[in-house]
Amino acid sequence: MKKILYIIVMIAVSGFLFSSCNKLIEKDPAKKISDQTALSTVDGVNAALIGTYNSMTNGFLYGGNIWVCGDMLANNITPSGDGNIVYEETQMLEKGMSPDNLLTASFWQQAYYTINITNSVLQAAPLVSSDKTFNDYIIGNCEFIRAMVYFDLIRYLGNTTEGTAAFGLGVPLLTAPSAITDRPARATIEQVYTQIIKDLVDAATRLGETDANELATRYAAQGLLSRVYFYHGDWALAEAAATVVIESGKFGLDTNLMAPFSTTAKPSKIETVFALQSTTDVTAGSTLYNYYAKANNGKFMPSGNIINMFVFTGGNNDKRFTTFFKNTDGKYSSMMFDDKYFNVPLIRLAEIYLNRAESRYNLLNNAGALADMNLIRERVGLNDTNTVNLTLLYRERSKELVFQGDNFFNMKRLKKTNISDKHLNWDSERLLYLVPQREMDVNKSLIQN
Amino acid sequence: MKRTLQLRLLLVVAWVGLFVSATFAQTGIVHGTVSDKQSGEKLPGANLYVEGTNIGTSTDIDGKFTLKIPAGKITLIISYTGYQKQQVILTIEKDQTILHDFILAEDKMMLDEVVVIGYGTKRKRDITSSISSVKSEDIKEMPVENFSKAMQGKAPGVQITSDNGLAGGAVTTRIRGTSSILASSEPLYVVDGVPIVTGDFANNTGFPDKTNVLSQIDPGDIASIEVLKDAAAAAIYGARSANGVILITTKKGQLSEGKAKTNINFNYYQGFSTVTNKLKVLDGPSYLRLTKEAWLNSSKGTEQAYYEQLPFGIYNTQLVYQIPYNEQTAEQIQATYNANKKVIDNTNSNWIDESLQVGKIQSAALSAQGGTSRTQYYLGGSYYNEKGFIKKNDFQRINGRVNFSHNVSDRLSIGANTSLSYSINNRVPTGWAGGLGTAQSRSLPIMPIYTSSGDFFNPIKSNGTNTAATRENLTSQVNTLSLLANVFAEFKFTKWLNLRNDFGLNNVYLRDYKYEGRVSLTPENSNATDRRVNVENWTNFLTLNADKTFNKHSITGLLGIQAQNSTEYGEWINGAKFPSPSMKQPSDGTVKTMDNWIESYGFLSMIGRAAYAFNNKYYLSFSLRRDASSRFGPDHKWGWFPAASAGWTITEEKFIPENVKKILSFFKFRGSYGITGNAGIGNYQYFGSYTSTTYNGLPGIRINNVGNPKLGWESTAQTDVGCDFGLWNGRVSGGFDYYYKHTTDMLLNVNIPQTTGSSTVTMNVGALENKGVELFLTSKNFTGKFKWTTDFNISNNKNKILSIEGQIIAGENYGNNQAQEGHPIGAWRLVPYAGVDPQTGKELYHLANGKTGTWDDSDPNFFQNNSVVTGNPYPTWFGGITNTFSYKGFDLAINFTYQWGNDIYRDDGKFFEGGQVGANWNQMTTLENAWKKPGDVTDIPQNLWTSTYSTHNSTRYLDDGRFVRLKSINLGYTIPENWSKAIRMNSVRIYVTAENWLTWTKYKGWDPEVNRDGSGNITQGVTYLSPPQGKTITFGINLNL
Repeated sequence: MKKILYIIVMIAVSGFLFSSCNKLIEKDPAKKISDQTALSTVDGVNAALIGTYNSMTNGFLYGGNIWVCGDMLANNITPSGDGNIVYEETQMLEKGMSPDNLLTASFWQQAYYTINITNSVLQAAPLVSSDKTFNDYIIGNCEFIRAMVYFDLIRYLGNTTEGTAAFGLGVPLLTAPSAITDRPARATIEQVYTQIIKDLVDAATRLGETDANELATRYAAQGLLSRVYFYHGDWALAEAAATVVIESGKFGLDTNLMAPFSTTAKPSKIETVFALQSTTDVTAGSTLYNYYAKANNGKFMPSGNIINMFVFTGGNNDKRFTTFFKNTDGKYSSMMFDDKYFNVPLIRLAEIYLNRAESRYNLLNNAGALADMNLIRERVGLNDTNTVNLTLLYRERSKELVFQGDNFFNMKRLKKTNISDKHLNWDSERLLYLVPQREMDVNKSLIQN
Repeated sequence: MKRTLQLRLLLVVAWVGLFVSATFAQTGIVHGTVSDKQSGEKLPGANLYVEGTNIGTSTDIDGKFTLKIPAGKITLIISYTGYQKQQVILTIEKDQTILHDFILAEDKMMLDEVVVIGYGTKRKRDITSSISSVKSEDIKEMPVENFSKAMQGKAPGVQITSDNGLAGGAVTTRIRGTSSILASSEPLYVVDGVPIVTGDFANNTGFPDKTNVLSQIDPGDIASIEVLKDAAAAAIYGARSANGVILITTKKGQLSEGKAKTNINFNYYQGFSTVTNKLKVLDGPSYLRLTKEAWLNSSKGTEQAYYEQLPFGIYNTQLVYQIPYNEQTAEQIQATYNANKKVIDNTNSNWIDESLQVGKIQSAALSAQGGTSRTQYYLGGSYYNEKGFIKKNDFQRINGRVNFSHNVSDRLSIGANTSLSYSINNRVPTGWAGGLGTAQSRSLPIMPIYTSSGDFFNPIKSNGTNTAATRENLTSQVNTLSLLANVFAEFKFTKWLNLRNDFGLNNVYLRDYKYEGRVSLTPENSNATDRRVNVENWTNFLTLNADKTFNKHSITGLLGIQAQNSTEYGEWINGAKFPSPSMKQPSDGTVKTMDNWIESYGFLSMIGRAAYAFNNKYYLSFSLRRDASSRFGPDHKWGWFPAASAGWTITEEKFIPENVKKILSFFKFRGSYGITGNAGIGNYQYFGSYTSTTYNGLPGIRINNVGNPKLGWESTAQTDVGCDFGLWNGRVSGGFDYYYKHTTDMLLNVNIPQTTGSSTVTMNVGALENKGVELFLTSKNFTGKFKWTTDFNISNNKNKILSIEGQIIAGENYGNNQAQEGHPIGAWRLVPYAGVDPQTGKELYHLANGKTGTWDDSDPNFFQNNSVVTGNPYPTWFGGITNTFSYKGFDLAINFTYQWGNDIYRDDGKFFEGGQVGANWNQMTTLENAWKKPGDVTDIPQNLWTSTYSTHNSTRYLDDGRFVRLKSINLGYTIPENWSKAIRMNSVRIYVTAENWLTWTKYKGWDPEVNRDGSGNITQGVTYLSPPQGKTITFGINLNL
């Protein structure tokens, strides 16, 4: 009798532990949701849009390298000696980027990662809701983001070097979710421009007319459109888009130059049309802080050509110089990103004025150009000028957008022949990002720059 | 109420009944002595028991025994470690007393020794698979906190690398090679039947070196370690057996009736440790002289300009005048320069020595082992305290264990093996993270440690290079509490059939705290992290065991079912920007971040094994396991893992002439084949997912990975052919194995275009192979009063990647290791170095075009086009040799380990010797031999000033990694028995152990035994400022009461 009891007890205890077998071998992760169902609800689509903004804050994208890499290529910045320069950065400073350069490869990866979420969200939005307000909001934001990323992709990768195999090639143009078996080829630069403009024009009709700058608005779309037209040489369209933003009355030039780059001056956000927001969880600006802040042994400091531009053209009392530059024992450092938690101002009214100034100049409206440029000059304590020419416009833009990666593209746009300390022609192959080697390996439809 | 009472009564009756049956049975008494056949010496502690019962005893210190046995015909079995087992059939009447003396013959080959196998035990004689055993005697008195470190060089086919000499540092173990690229290559560890939690849970940010919870196990509690190497041995562990299995059996109770009583043991040792070797870097005057020379060689400017550019505030621009340098007049600047030069020329800091100290090791262990025929127990408690040779690094552990078993009746036995272990590990940053890593590199010898007023020199401005200040600034402590326990009940249906259930728990509770304060960081950056991890792991298995011998046939069988669940709960909180330097808890920080995670996995398994043996001559065995795991995708949930083996003891055959048997006393052929799996693929890998994210305080989601419902285990088919042999009646014995392991379905992150938004899909597609031979020999050179035994083992393993979809997979860390088809895993891609051009003093390389030339920095594809795949980070040959001597009370064991065929890449070499004296790194003393003028033949290029970091990864820094090491010497003296009796001890032994005292190597870094950052499968054989190994000397005493 006892024997049987023992066995029953043993088997019962053991059986109890085996009773939930399926739970042992079928487990869903606690912190992930299935990609099969993630975008099947309104909440899911909304959350994925926010996820897209999060991926824009990545350091390899708008969190920093979009600006820093341009400045490295233009040699507007130089190693400070405080932090270690890694070889990817050395390659950029030397204008010899290999196809496996981490900075360029990660930019590509992060750019397409972002584009792919916008494509997935654009596809999912009409399926989960037919509400027009909701759809306009989702679609407008996604188109804005997608346009912005494609624009920077073609600025860095679009090949304008005549006589090369990739001449005129932009980047693979995807406007719908891509299957893992797809092997897209590079579209032409013009095809990509067409898509960017199409997206932005559509976004501008869908997005709201607010001055909120943390997500895309109608003015953010118009502001970006002015930049795209400007770089594309569509002067009248650039002027018109810029005018929409300027005349909205929602933005102004801040007398406190540091305000757009600072958290403490947040109430005065009037100048920023669109900025990636920093929170303690997601510090959009931390990459720039790490690159530049003296307190963090920043790797980079402004190089001589930028300092000279301020010192010799305009003088030491330019507020941009006194606000953003600091001289410690004969070594200059940038103070622009000393606030780790600043919101990265990707579109500022000052740039839009300068887009319009040069567009007007090209449209032979010198008075209009002067007016725009003098607004920028007055704000930084410089005297008005009554002459306007490309050199002055170039200088003003270089100073206003210092440390913001614009100067490199602006020199290429102006077809300068003396770019960087390597004195390269604007269409030199050495100024181009290469298609990452791993992409070339896995996608045979691609042509290398 | 009434019913409970009845139940209780019933229980009481049952218990009483049991006692009555034990006490009032009719008995007689057998007594006598047990002695050694050769010397006639009496054997204390020999075990005697009546077959098929729990009645037994062991001999006392004089070799005498008295045993009450049931009347009738019984079989008495006498066993003693190292002697052949004896069986005697006795017939005894009630109250009769018989005198019976036993004489045991030494069993030189220990063929009847019981070896632990998966879910059971087997006599060594009957084993047809490849298993290596390491006994407690082989690892005792070794001053290490982790048993793996004591196993080094002692088991053929098992390569154990101590990652570094840090107290509490991890160990890398490979059984028969590395059989995976992305999944784990570490073996499965099973303690008393329970698969345990292993690995590093203390990975707080900023520490490259790993820890391992294996350090929670007290090596002193271990009775034996069995390494299951081939498929026949390991496949019973199914989807987790491809990397081999390490079975740990803890010490159990033993019979202690009679005068021998409880065996109480006290062991204490204490000693010192220091580094095995020191890296030779420049001192202050040499650094100044040589870097100045580089400055001038490169025409960088004047000597004054050289001084002015010195980093980290070494050149103090306000040393004389408290005004900014650019406002100083020419005279003031000159005065500042003169004052600075005087200070700098007279500074000579040895940062390496400043970081090191004499370490101390201390260990005390007390155990009691005993029991009756019905209840047996082992109780152990120990304390281990190691103060490392790097300042602020220490490891302490307190451990308690209770192993207990009780026979409820002749049929039912129950028991438990439990241990609680608590450790405190103070950790230090190393390698690239700072500490000793920085002390040997970026801490310049011309930078003072302290200012004249006794404060730290420039702690904040020095960017972490004042390692004395950063050490003061940093606290990192890991507290680990772990519980390892199993309870079991075993019911015998008959003598040959039993049912057993085991339930095991292995829980780990860990707190990992780190604080970096304001000594060398700005208040803004001061921060603290508190990280907690709980791992809760249980397993239950029910097995039915059969073991039946009739005539010459012997059959064993096993059927079982097992479930396991393991869940890890983790969280951390980080606080930064503290209001006060004395506030150090994360919650006091102004900026707080946190994270938490939950990861869980489960296994469900069915187990079967059948073995047949005929007349100790022919053997056949077959095992099968079916495993399912939550880690596998829905389309690939269950896997079969079969294995078969066969053996033939040729010396049992009649056709072998007796005169041959006099020489070849034992010879067994054996062979096996089976399929093993590797489930170390991580959790939820198959699950395509989005994860949470946020932007501007809004909730968001983002794509995490592309799923693959077909994802499953990696599969390894292994063939093993071998033999075991004994010569001259066991004077020389050994074994030989050849194996071939073919791994398929290897986990691989297959690249897809990033234009899809993702980079890879994880799939089972790759294949690789490991093949090798193993040989071990034990020779009893002298067996008389002076004893000399030699144990020798050597292993060979060759690894080759067969297919990884044409991909080239980079290592887990820097160092240019990679996985590429046709090459061993971890081979390097490097440009072949061709020495220094005697004419120009520049480094030359063998270029792809067949010529030699310099490195073209302007060509971004230079490396790609001119590099070759070369070297092997894993040794192709390794092993150990131990010579043990004893004479009277003295004994001496000398153990060497060795390995060759591997290379070590000094990833820091290009900064230490690559001619970058301007990059604020200290340089190796070899810079003295730099090229100086045309015609100089040297291997060090001209001393030039370069301030950018070199990317010149070349074979110049690939060193031959072979070494021979005097791993340990253990010298002991056991005082004569009459002395120890005089102080009422059974035995008293004093000993001294020296570890790692001599190493022969060509390697140019600290120590050739290294694993950078405790890395995975690919990045092996690489150093980057990695911390060295330590050598120790300890003095101990062992008292047996």
